[in-house]
Amino acid sequence: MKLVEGGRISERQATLLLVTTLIATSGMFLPPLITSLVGQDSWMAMCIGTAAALAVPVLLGALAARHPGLSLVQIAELVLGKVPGKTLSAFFIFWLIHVNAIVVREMADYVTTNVLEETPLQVVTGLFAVNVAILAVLGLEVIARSNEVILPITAVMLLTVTALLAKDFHPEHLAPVLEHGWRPILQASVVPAAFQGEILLLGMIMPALERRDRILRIGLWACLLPLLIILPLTAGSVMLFGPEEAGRITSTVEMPRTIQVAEFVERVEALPIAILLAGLFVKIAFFLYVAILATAQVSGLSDYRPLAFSVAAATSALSIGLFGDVVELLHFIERLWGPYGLTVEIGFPLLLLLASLARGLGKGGRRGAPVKGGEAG
Amino acid sequence: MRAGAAGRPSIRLLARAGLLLALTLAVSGCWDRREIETLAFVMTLGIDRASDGRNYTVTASIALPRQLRGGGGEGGGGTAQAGGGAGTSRWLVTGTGETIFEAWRSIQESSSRRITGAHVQLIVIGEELCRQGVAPVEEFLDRDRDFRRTINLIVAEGPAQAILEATPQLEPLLALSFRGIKKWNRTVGTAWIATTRVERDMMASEGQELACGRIRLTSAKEVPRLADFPTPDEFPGGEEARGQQPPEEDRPREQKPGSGGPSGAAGGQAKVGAATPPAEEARKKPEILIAGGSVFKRDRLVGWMNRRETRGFLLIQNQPFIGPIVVRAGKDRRIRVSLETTHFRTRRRVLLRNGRPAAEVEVRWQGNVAEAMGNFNLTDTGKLAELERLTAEAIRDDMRACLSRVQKDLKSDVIGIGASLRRAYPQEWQRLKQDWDRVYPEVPVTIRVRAKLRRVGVVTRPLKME
Repeated sequence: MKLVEGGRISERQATLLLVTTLIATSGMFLPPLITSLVGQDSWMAMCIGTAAALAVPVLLGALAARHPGLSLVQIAELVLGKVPGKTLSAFFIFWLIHVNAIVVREMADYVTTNVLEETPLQVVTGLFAVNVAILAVLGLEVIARSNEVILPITAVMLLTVTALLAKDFHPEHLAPVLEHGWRPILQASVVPAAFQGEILLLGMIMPALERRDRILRIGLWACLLPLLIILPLTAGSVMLFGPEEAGRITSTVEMPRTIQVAEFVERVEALPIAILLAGLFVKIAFFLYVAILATAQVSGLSDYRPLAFSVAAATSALSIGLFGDVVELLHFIERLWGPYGLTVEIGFPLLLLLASLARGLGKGGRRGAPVKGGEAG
Repeated sequence: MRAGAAGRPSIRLLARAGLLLALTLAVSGCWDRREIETLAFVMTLGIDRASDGRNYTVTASIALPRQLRGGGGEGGGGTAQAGGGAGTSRWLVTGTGETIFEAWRSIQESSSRRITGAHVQLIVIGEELCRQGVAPVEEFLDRDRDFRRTINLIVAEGPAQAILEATPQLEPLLALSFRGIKKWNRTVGTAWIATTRVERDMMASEGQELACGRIRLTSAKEVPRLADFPTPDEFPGGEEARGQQPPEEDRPREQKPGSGGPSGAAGGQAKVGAATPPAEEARKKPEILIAGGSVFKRDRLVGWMNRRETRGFLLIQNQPFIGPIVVRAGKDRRIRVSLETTHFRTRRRVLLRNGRPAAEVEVRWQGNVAEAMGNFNLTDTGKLAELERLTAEAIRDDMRACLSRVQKDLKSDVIGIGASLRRAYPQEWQRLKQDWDRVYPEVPVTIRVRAKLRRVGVVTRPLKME
């Protein structure tokens, strides 16, 4: 059986790629959203949400230990049987494309609101789709390597922004802690949990890792490292704007817009915007890559590449059609994305693990040998 | 593959090349292309209630780059030129509309270049608009992507339009003049100037009211007298300034200090043609003066702070300045001594005593002797200690002046006692916030000041005259 992906990426590359995938949206759009829900306690919701999302790498680690060398959809077919496995995988693929379309829409709405006011949404998403499709065609190794360039710049830039603003921070804005108790914080932390749970994508690149025994380690690091960026941005935006205004802004890019240091470090936000878009570029390309890889594996194609442009076009079109306006988008992310995301992110691997345990498949089960999936045609 | 099927790879090659070329279209961003020579940069914005009382007027001061090019270079020559040809380096346009946005866009009707707000540095709001509520202005500025949160929003005594008509002598543009004044006011410490980021934070925070800057016009002849505290520039009739007076009342007219020049609503244009001799006219050319502060309740202007009250405000808010403190020393307290602030640090605390809030403000002040008017020998032992005691007293008095204005008089929590209370006692705050308006004026504030004088300047004993 031909492998649909021949690339290999290192442990570090995988971790960094997942970190970018998480922070591209959760560093940009998540802090204001959570602050609008729980005010100055948003940083706590971020921590709790991330802690909850750690369940995903734990599940993936357990799955990988039982079925080494298989991706999620291959495991699904193995443990659930051909038809149920493929059906569930199809839902998973739809979820990937759907989430990717939402990310594209967030990006495009941001761009048309803040940078290219008169450019139609379709033009922005269309051009982005072409670019990410090219990256997805080039494969996982190339995505991982381009990310190795983009992520360090993103991280350094975001931390520099926070540092340059530190003189304007009012730490007292973080008080009072727990003004309205734990309940709203726990409720709100569902949203960051769903954002951080996107670590599920690791499940599709497990076979491409050089060290397949390090899944858990990669997943945990990739979940926790983004906090180094997200927490300064979340707490920083509250300290900078106050909880009320920090919950009104649409993205953390409003922070570099207020930088004023020594009368000449001003108006620097063009750089952060470009860098954050580069991060989103990697994220969207990675989602697209995973979506078409999963499609190829489920439908038994020998190559995923021909799918790239068509799925990218579909994603782009879907991103326009999904939401009539920004308010709908925000409403979706605030109310529905948490349960929707978590259902797939935790439910899918959990179901597979339970099925694997129940049927005693994989290593440590009764029927040892791993079976390669994707032979149906 | 390579040589055999020559046709197919070349088609693919062409397709790829075409794709790459198509991608360059995306790089240029043609759709929203903005060339700098097609833009009109607004530097200062004045927002007023129109004289009909229903609409809004927006006055934009647009930089004229051609004129600025000469003025920006050499310090002396450039400024003199700009000063001489006052009014030529900027272009004033006014637009009217039912909303601020409509008024703002209507400016475009007379501008050949696209009106751009991204470089606005100063926004002046007319007094009348502020009395009716400044929230619409903040909302407009907040929602538009162009206006940054680093803009300074400041309240005019009288209409904002008149302020924009002022032609500063030292700088070619009002915005630049403002920028300098704002920067160097710390050497005086008499003005509260905040960015819209801080102002929105004040407005939105629970238990915190809004305080903005205060700007007015003065003729070039009029010299602000700093030592002469308290200055008589208080808002007339502070006790009636509770925000319920009818907006029709033409408040700007009764403003004494800002008068003189073209500060009337329609007076600006009318005054120009008046039969005054040109030399007299030049001497009377109004300058802007930024001192004091404006106090809001919710979003409505309820009164002003004068210089001294503002200095107290800055002290309470721990806003650094290196301005003077004047004390009267000697036996009959006849000798005036000026102290220069070098550094101070304020700590504030709000406590609950038997369920009643009480505030504590502790200032640690350091400074130098800047001036001793009279035979006051600083080198005598104990003299500095006496000065320190007097300084502490003067600082306390300044803060008391601020408190009596904002707390007792205007009853607006601009110092954020409620916000501090909320942070320290969130549960009690939930109970107290309902009638905070009633509780706040009665909150006792304990002030402790420790002043330390470090240096006495470049000489020691005062000058002897014999």
